Amino acid sequence: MLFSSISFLFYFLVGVLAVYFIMPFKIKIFKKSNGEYYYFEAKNFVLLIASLFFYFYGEPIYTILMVSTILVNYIAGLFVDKFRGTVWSKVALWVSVIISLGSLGFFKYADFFITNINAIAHSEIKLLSLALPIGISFYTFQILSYTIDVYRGEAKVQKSFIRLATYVSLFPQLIAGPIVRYTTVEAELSERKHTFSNFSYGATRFVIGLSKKVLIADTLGGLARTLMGLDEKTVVMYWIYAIAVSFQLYFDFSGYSDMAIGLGRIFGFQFLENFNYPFISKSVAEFWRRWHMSLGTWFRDYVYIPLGGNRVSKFRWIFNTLAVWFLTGFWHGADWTFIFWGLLFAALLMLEKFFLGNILKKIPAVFSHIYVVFIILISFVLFSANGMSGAISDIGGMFGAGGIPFWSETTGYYLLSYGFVLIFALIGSTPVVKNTVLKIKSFKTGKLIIDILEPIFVVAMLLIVTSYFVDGSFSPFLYFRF
Amino acid sequence: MCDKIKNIVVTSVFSAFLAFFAIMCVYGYFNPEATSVAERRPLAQFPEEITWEGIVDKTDISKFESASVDQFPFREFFRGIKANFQYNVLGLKENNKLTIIDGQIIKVENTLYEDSLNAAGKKFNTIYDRYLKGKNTNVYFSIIPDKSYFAGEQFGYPSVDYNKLIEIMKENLSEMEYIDIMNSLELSDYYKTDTHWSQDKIIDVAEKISNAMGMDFNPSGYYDKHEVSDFYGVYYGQSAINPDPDKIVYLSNEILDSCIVYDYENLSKTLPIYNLDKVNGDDAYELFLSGSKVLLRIENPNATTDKSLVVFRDSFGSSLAPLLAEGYKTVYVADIRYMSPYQLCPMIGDFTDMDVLFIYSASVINSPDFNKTFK
Repeated sequence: MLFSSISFLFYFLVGVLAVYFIMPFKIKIFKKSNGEYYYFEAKNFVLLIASLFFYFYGEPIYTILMVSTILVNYIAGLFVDKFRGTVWSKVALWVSVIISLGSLGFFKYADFFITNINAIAHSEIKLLSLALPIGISFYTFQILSYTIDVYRGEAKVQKSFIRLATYVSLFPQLIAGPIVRYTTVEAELSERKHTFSNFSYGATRFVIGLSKKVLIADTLGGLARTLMGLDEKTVVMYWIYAIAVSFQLYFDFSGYSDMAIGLGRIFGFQFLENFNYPFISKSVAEFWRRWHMSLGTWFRDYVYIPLGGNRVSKFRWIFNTLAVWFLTGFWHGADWTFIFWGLLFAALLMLEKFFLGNILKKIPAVFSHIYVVFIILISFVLFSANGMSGAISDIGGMFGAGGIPFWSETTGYYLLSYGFVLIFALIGSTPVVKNTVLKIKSFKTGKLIIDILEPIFVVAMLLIVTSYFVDGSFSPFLYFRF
Repeated sequence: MCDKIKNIVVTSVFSAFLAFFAIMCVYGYFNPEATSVAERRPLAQFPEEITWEGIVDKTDISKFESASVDQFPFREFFRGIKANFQYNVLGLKENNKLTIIDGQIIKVENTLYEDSLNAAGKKFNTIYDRYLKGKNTNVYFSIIPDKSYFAGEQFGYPSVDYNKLIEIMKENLSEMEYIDIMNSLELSDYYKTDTHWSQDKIIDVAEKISNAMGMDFNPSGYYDKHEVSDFYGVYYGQSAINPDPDKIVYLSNEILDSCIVYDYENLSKTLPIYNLDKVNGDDAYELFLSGSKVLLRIENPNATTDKSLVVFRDSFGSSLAPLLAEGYKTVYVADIRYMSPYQLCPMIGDFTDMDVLFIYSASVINSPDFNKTFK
């Protein structure tokens, strides 16, 4: 089920909110022999059932896979804790890691490996052609954060299956992130506050995310598709395409994160931020501290640091960096474009580490911004390309490869038509709007005006976004495929 | 306003908005609409029963998703919001590929579907080879440009490469003589809210075609122009911006008034050339030759010749054929979109000594749906 759909907004969400807020957090069931009461956590149960239905609606069969993965890791967590300090604790952890990653590897990468083996060995192994379970990359990483943190002693074992299953399957972030660590919501699974403040913040944040996705990401996605479908391509057209797909990716994914964070807040969870205006970065390293932060910190804490991080020899550090960025790229998709995309960033981070970083600090900020934007545009064209040959063709087109003309009337038409949207996207990708609102709110009258405008903004954007649902076509979130 | 009040207001308006439309959705679920008059299409319906198989293979879920969109309450209101937001706030030139130039609503189309053109050529050649070849027939073809052609020519909008389109069709239909009507048309010859041309604006087109086929044009020498009623063309509803409607116009004279139209779907009844009963229907353009008909025969009792003409056409031909009918004794108006030519052509006869004109709009022959459109 898509957040940006009528079925989600006006059927599912309304039903879930109604039932969730009617239910008490806990219901007393019976008195135990020790005098304590056994409680049924009704709100968690409602969220769990709603989340399973949410997943089932999009992936009826693979719901079994997700529930099985949760069950295996629930048991693994219990074993890790019970046999702490013994070899069995490590065995339980490895079972959890192997089963979780094995499942991800099988469903996501099997055909990639078969294709490459066939190409190298000239064999004819039949492709499995399995459908990728939606969100498997996200929920696999989430549940691994649980078992690894329990093993490390950084999280307490969760004895309630309902709580653990609620955490993993929580529908706001289930299928496209952010990757919420178990430790982030550990306390909130057993006790959380439901306030007007949380609901109001969550609703506004959700509407902002929805608007980013529907009004900007989908519009620019349409532009990108149109440009790629044109018979006559030009150099400027390829650059417009690069800008369009870059903004599309940002507004699609950060919009989804906004919606997830907003929904989480409505239900009393405080998810960490996932994006922090990455396009204002002055280096690639800074970009990755601002882009998909939950993935970056996951790889840092569960891969990079266990490999030794940067407190190792130069060659080992190079290996660690390559390994992490190879995996980061590969996580995004079973295609060489994603692997090269990840390795491109590895190369750039190494360059920045060894000499470019110092140069970037010394030159005027505008040049370091231009450098980052240039790299990001190229990288997202690679990311969005249809295979490596498509990537070479698209990136080559940006530099006039094939003798294509620089400009055409059609290019001008699309630039003019989408000019405002591109400007809105440019402004929206910087903290200008946020800072302006904060500045206005710092004055008493300004705060009053913003407070009055906020509910009007929420309703207006809901009306506009709904109008896009009613008149629009199916447009899934880009990160669903990961 | 203190934060507490603001938070309560935001929470309330958000919840009220969702709740109100959720209730309306439930109403829509139990009272579904069958069609959208504005969009001229059937609306998706909720699955009558949801089965386990339908859930697993996602067909029921897919049906539910489509129906939840199509059956959403106040559909036209929301479509209007979206169109106005696209044009006036985002500054986009298009909404659902429709653009507005000087009040003309135009579908921006710039893709040349060569497969479709080749399929059209093959289809028309099949008729030529089987029924027309060696019959002393004069066979012509012509292509009616879509409005987007003029948007491209005059305003720099993306449009199909018509030079290439015509070259492909000329190559495909090498046995037929091409009649070029491109220069006889301009954007204002088309209805503002519809794809079609206005009959009173295509007199020069009809004259050019008649002359190319060696026939007298408009022997009566005059036309009476009749402005019938407001015309809400196909783009009127699709655009969702409530533009001013057009006025539908038809031309008549003594000869045209005397013509009799036979409908091969019911030969016992005759039809008028201009069926005024259709004016208040879903598509007022069906006024011309009663709209979608597989095969019609127009008999002209005042003809000064025994010549017959066969027009293979789409809906554009409905308003053109009456203007050509004045010069012929008999005009057959055939639409092979609704019946296979193998069934239809034998009903016309053996075509000997007839003139034959294939005239189609570019939007019909240059379409990814060509093979679905034609029988």
